[in-house]
Amino acid sequence: MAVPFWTCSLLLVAALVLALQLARVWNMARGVAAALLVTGILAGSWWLLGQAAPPDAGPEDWSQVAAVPSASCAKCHADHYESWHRSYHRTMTRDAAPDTVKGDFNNVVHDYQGLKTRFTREQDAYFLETIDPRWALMRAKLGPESDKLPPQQHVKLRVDRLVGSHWIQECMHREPSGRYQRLPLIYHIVEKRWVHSNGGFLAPDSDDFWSQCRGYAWNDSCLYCHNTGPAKNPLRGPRGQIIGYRTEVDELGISCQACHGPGSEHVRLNHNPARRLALQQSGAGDPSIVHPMRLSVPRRDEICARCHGALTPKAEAWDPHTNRDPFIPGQELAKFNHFFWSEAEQAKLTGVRLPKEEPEPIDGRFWGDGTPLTTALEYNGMALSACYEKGHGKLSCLSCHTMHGPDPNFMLKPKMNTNEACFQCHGEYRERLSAHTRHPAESAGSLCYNCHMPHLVYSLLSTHRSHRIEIPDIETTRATGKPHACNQCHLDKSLGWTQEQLKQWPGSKAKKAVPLTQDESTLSSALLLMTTKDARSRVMVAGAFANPAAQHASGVDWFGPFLTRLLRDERYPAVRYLAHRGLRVAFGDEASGPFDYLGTPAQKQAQLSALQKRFDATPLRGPLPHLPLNAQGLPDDAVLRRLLGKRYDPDLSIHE
Amino acid sequence: MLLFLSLGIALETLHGFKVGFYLDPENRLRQLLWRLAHAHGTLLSLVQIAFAAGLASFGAWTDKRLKLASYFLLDGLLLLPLGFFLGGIGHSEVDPSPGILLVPFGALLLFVAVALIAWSGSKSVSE
Repeated sequence: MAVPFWTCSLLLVAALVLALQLARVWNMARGVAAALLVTGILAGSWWLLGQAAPPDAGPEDWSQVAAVPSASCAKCHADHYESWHRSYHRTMTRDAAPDTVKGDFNNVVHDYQGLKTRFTREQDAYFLETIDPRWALMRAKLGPESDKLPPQQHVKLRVDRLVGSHWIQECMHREPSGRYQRLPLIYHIVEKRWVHSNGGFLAPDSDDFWSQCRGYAWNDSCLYCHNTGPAKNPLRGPRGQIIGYRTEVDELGISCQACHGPGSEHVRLNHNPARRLALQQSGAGDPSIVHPMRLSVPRRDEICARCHGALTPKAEAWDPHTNRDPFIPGQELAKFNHFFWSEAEQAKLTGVRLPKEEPEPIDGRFWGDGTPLTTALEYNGMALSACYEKGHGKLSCLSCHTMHGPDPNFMLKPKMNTNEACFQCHGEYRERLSAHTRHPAESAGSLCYNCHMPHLVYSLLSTHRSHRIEIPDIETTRATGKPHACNQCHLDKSLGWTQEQLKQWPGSKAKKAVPLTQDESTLSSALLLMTTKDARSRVMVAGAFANPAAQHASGVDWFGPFLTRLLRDERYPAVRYLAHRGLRVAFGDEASGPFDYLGTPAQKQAQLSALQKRFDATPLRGPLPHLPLNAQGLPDDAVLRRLLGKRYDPDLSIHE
Repeated sequence: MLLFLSLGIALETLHGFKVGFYLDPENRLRQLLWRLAHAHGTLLSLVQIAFAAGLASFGAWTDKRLKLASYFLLDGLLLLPLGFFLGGIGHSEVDPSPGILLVPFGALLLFVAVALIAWSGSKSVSE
């Protein structure tokens, strides 16, 4: 019922009662007149109030609407505010303070291969006494053992800002120019320890202590996706070069207005109770704020894509002086940005000339088929999916995710970590799940995600599900190095075995067999990728060793003897960490340690030798037909050496 | 008073059986409004009883003033709890439903009633 009907009915009843009462006090005429006067004054006041802010009022030019702090949303939307407040979106970027700092600053010393950093606290200020970046550069150029290298030099830098609060927390130091410099030590929240940034991202070992930080400023890189309403405001020198920043944000972290648009007009208009009640009764949306669920699916998903998509700005659509992100939720994202599907395409769009190196630089963000291989590109993955392309608007980010649900970790709606997610559209598989998956219905092999959204994405010392929903394909694995979903659980099996299994799948008989090499046919696909492929494939496979479903499908006895050998030649700390985590999950911390994936080469070799000896004490017993074993039931070192000799291992750096 | 005490029992029953319609987080506003209905109804019933009991020994009343005070007190007793109760039916996340409009109306009448009682009280003291 419309609000005028309700209002009038209630007031009429009240006025009638009042008139009767007043008539008994005075007389009918005076009673009715007095009642009409009182009711009229109240109704008139309400009507005037309603006129001051009609329900259809909303901003004409959203770019002129100011932002408000998210605390002002809490006054009315307490539940939504609370669910946002416990999210990691909120805590993406914060100023360093006792309630925001996760790392240990109690005068502890972190030793990274002999380079010491002390973490201290002076009241509410936090400091790193760490290696001087100039000395680090000198050491990198001269070599760590050089006689010409002066003694270690340190700098004391205040930690002013923090990025991250879920997996890792990065420290930023504010320079006098307004530039926030990334610092080389990261707090790994999962393991509760400080790690060097070489081991926090996917990057090879380096002699340069500052290698992951040089040229990285929060104002340039983190700003746009880790804050709300960002404006870089670079200060330029006479030749146009950036000499400082007056960076501004509406709010640190991702807050309400990142998805709902600027809210000052909404707040102003809705101070008026008559407007709110009119809106409530009409059932119409409030045009003074963006509600993603009232947008079309593309516009809705683009709100997420702004930070979870691969974008590069269209220079003509951005203010060159402020570099303020012009996108407002509900607008078309492509109006302001180009989407890209490879780093080469990104470089072309931004006008960067790629060095003509041979081989070509490896793409650190996408597999060769355009599938994203880091987080923050989920939209690209989803948009490549047949479910999205052919779903006619059925699939959206919000099919499975909610920003206001009970799960702050992955922001999934209830049951969306089960097959119910896919059954929303593919309900026909509910009754014949086992026939489709050829795995028992309750097993990990029957979880749609495991085959169609396997862990092919890396970030922050963990692997994550790909958001490209696809049918696993052997040809793609061979062409791109993207591990095959079957072999992400069946780690001990070859690609040839997988091909044989897939032949028996319903509807797959028509598909032509892919010609495989001898090694691909006979050797474990995981082992092949771990030995011969680049760090992208290796890190995904390394992550799979910790997956309980993979451990169940593959058995764990062979992990120790093989991984302790493979880690000796591994120059990417993240791969070492994940592979060792596989051992820890399988055998426990005590049985799989000690091993420090960030130790010096000598320390690591000694620890791996001790571990290998321990694991080799129990010879492997079959059947392990796709693992190269010698007569003693131990890994065949000759085969491993041969495979390692084929390794394609260009430098790669993934800063996610 | 019996009516509003019954409402209290009904609310306790909803608590006892953990009825989502009343206790779910999205119904917090309903919880608040119905508690207000129960509290206002019960307290104003007590005021009504006290007013009736003390009438003979308190205040200098004219017939009209007494009628007005009595009616308005009764109106307040009914309109305030009813407004809160209806406001909790069909409410949004942010606001009560239009039934809440009875509350300011009832509050105005209650205000007049209390003002009349105070006026009569002060007159009796001065006399």
